[in-house]
Amino acid sequence: MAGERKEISSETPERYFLKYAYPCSFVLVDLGKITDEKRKELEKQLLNNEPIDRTELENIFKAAFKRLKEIAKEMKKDYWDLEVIKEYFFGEKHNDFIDKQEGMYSEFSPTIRELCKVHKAEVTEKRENILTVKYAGIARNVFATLVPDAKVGDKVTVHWAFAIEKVA
Amino acid sequence: MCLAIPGKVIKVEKGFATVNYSGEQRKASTQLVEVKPGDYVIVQAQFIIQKIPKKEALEAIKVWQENEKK
Repeated sequence: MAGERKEISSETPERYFLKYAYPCSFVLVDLGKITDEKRKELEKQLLNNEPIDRTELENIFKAAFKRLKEIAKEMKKDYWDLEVIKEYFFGEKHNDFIDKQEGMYSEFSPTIRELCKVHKAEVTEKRENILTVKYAGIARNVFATLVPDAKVGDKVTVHWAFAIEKVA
Repeated sequence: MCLAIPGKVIKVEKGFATVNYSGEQRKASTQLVEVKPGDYVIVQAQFIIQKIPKKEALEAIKVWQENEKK
């Protein structure tokens, strides 16, 4: 796959979830919760638009699904409904959980909690696979892996060291 | 779901830093964030992704070590 990478556009709930959870997959490897082979398998599925298994995602990202189920209940929808997952990551429910310091978030230091949050940012610079993004007055460099066609001026969401999706 | 332990930069070479985690050393790229020896950092996917204030880093490492013992 030299040069052009396929745009990650087909928005299934599995793919949308994994885009946001992708940065955490590296953390799970560091913690010994999953193997690096498993992480690479998920990465390949995500970047090549291959099918992604729901049960596997639920087993790997247990804490996220516990909260997704709570939100789904409030929204009276299935927890695999794309709207529920969007409400969680994009609608900032996920950030609310972090601000309330629920569960393991209570043990995180402020800098790490900020990395865990989803931020809406503007692309101010681009070089190869790296985007400089700005939000809340700070500038950071993040990977463009998931948004290879992002341009200067675009708005993107950011989770850990990755731009996740372009937003209107 | 997300957890990371800060490490301390002990050496910086061209494009890479050596980061110390209570004795264990790992190499990480400095392509995203410029660092100098003594900085505390968060690493993801072999890249330094964020600097973290020393006081906060030391507290985070302490919490981490206490949890390890549990």
